[in-house]
Amino acid sequence: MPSLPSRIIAIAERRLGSIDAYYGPVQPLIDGYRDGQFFAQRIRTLSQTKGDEITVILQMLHQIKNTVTVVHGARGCAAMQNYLESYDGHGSPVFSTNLTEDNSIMGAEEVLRKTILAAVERHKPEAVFVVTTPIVAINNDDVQTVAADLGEELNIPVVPIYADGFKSKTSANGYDIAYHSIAGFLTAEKRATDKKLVNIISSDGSEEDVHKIAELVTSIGLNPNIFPRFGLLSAIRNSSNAVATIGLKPDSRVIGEFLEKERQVPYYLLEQPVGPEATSRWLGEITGKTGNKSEALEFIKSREKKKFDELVADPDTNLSGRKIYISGDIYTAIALAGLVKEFGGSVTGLSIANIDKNSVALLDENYKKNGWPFNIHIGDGQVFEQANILSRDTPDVYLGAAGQAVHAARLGIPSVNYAPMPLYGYDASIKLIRAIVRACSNRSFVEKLGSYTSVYNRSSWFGKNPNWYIKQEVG
Amino acid sequence: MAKKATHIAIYGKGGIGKSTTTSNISAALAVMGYRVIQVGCDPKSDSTSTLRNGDFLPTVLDTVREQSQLKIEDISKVGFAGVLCVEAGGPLPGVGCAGRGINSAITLLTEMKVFEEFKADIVLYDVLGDVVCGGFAVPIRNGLTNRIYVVSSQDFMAIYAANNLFKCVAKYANSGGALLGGVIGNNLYGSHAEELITDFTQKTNSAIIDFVPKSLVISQAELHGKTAVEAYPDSKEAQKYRDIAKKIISDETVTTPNPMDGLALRDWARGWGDKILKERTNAVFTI
Amino acid sequence: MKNMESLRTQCALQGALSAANAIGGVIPVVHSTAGCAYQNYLAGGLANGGQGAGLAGGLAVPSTNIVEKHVVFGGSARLREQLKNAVKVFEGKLFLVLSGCTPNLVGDDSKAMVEEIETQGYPAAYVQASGFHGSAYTGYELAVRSLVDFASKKTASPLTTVKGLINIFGIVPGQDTFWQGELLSLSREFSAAGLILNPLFGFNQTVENWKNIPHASLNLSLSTWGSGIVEYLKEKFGTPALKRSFVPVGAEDTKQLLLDIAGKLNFDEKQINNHAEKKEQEADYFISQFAEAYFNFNFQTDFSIAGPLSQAVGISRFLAYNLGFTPKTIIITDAPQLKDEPIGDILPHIDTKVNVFFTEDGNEISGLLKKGNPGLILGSTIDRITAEEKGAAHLSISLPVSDRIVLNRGYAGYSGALNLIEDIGTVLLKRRTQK
Repeated sequence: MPSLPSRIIAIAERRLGSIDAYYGPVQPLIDGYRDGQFFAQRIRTLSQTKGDEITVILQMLHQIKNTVTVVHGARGCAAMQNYLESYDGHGSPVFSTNLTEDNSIMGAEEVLRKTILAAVERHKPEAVFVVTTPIVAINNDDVQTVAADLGEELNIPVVPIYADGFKSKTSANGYDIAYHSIAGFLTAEKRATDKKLVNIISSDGSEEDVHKIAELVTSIGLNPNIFPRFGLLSAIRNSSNAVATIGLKPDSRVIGEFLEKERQVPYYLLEQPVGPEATSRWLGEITGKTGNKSEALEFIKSREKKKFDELVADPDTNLSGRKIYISGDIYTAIALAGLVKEFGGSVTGLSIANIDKNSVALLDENYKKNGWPFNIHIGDGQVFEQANILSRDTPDVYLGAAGQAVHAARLGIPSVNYAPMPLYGYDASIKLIRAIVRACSNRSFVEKLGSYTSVYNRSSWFGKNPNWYIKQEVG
Repeated sequence: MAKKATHIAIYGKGGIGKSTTTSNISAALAVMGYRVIQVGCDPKSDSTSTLRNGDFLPTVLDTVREQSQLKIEDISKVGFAGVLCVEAGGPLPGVGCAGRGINSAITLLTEMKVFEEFKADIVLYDVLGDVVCGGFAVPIRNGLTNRIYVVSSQDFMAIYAANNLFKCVAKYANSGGALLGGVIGNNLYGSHAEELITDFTQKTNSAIIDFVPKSLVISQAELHGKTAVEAYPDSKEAQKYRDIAKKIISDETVTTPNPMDGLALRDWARGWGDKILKERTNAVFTI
Repeated sequence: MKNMESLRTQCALQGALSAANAIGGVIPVVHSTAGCAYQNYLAGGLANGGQGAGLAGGLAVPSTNIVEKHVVFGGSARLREQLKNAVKVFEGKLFLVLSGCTPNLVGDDSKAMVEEIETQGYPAAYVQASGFHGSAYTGYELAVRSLVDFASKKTASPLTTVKGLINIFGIVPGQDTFWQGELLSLSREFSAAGLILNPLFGFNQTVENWKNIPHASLNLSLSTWGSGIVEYLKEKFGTPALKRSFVPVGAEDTKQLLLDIAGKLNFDEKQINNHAEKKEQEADYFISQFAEAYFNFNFQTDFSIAGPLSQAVGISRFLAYNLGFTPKTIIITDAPQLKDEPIGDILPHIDTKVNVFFTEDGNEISGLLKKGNPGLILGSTIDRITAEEKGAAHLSISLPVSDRIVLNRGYAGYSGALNLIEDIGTVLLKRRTQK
């Protein structure tokens, strides 16, 4: 009877105990999640902008082929399409219902309806995604009904994605919201298991990396079924017939667990195949999990390792003695930490976007293995906190994703933005290693930046503990 | 598979006695042996106070403040005859968005599977009936509730509110929204009250559930922080609520209301006003 | 039909934020959901000639990042807390609160929070710029008004008028890709002509420059987005206003603008004429050099252009009257409200039928650009695909600009025209070699 619950998924804070604010030792964090407990919520009393559920969802939907996305909200909620379309290119069209004040008061179901109709008329997509935003979350437009009616009328899936834009503090919650709807609207019943078919969940990252994954999977005799990004809707429909689902990051969990529970396709979240060791382990895991006995595997491992060793002989890939600070989502950050170690460098600090009851295990494992002496920072963006930390830690190089590296560089620290670089596979990450070496060896640009004026009141802020504005939430 | 509860929303203009009515119905149902949850959907958060002796009860929305691991005990209290009392809560007057509040509170209750875990037979939502924004329409939409009832006095403003609510029900009628069980006349006095409300229901394709006259017994019970069903179980008022409760739980008849438009409603109200005035005036002359 | 696909302009909040980011010492404090400022950074900072958003821009923008509880219970207290802490961490001469859709819908009293922090001795101001109020251009107008109100309270009295001091409005940071270059170029031209331009945004501009606004002898608006502002200033300080709908590119239009200003100020025209003459000689010299390439590679072409009115018209006039290029289609992306205004005076005395359209819908724009097979398309980076399809040369001049870096380059004034010649010549040559 009540169909309301089916359209929503609880926010990451309540579902997974997700935390996005912390600075301090690793151990209390790990202890906080013991015995099914959640680490106590923290809030920031001073914060900077960051991605949210909507931005995460839009970057993902933009690369699902033969679809259109309608952002139901004010025009600014879709502003980033200018970035996606002009830098990423060849993505799916993005529409905005471009709501006005009047719409925000009177409701805008009719505007949504007209926009969806026009989008379908123009592009004849196989499916339409409707992304909700704060205005419609507050005026309570009945998006569900509009979507259902038009889905029937147009005979294609019209998939509402209830992003709202203010539900969770964790932007990755956007993936969960999107996959929750994708699972419900776009997957199909299982026909028969195809023993060679492996689902690869591509929520973000570069197209190059996704192709590399496909290549790796193919090399051991399996067929990759890649979705949602760079994939077709048929791949999503076909996912129920796969022998396994491989997630590269925890953002795949909702769709992976759905396929496991509802379509009996086992889901495995594996470490990222970054660098030779991790890639060999990754391939080994997949052959094991799919029951695929690939004779090719050992051959590939030794061949690639040999090729790789030749590459590493190059002095431009030596990180020994280099202290590196890494920022990113926890899976990527830990994969990069492993890579840095493999090339002789050491990690001086980690800043991760968020942590929850699931990903804490990865942190625990690596903490035990490496015995990190440093405090861990949890924050998406929040470059003011990072600036404070970096003023103490003084790493040789800062590794961060887009938009963050520049702020470390402004402190005079050599910085590398790894986001646009290929990382997966045996040797792709060599480019990143070279970039790190390059950043260390020619510091002229960052030195210039570091001597330029700062936006922070350094004497006051850098004297305080970086966790000064992170407070435990009370009732 | 958990059994499914019957979800019922009771709307009415603020101050019309809808919390009193809902609480008495809850109490009556509980006495009959049903497992009942009453959810107050009004930022004032006092819907269930007569069921729980006015004890303190943290609201559901207080927990929107990100307490990650919530238990049902954190947001509910078992009241008279086992009724589970829940208050959605909401902002102080003049700040925030009460409508979004109702939406998030109901979402949270569903997420927490409160209705399943309590094994409720019936869930009553007591909703502020001046449907001021979309949030207050959430209990009507998307098949959340099985039926809607409206509490109204013979006061024209209450009738206006009822008519507005009918508009809302009619709007969502074709998209899986809940339909109308009927109107409960409440706090009635004077000779025309029942006739007036009956006429309104006939004009709008809705049904009368029952009439509850203005009563000292009910107000007195309320002043003692109790429902009439609890405080004066032998009173005719308590019996009235038990009748209504029985009807609500057993009669699943619903209609799609046909609300009057603004002009028609005005003319209808004027007609009744003239009639009542005339009779009163005549009465004066006869003294 | 309402604009809906691939909208080129951001929302009012984002426009106001771009304006704030373009003034030294201003720390914007966004009171809204997390993604609002972040999307501004992607669209207005990166997809706009990669020019970034300043020290307090990008991921550095303080933002309250409000969530559900602030929606339900109100977010004023969150803003209070944010401001209280921001003034300690950030070095700012003005904390400018920009409040977005959500706080506005739930009725947060941002203004009261700003007044509170002001009474504690911190400079603060407030812009109610919800995304649903309109486009980024509207946001620019809203931000400018707030900034004027804030700064003029601090203007040194008496409000004497400085002869030749001119405030300029209507060139919109973060939206007009070449805003910084245009302001620098016009400043140079004005100063050579004996006038002093107060550009208010960009390099070397701080709140101090805004305090000088009441001292100006003229307020100049070079687009429809400045005209409301100069009217407002006329009312507020009695300063005369001069409104032009486009940014002048090249000798004729630049000289005309300077002469119009001189007329308005009873200024001696001699210095302007002297300067113009020198500049014209310089321009003639380079144009004459350009002639070799022009004829060797047959540069004369027809063109279509899509961009904000002030820019599209300024550039079109230069190409039509100076380079002998024929305009086919002009698409105005920023000002749908001007749809019904007479446009006859935009391109007078041209023996051609120019089609003028008002839309910012990406799909409509590419459809319109395709018509008539122009040899040159000036528009956004997205329009490059259309140009390639049609075999036309393409230059990115309006949002989103993602295939070139634009720092201080501009097309306004005398020197700007030479930049334009170089850029257009380059893309025409490239098309030739690609064929």
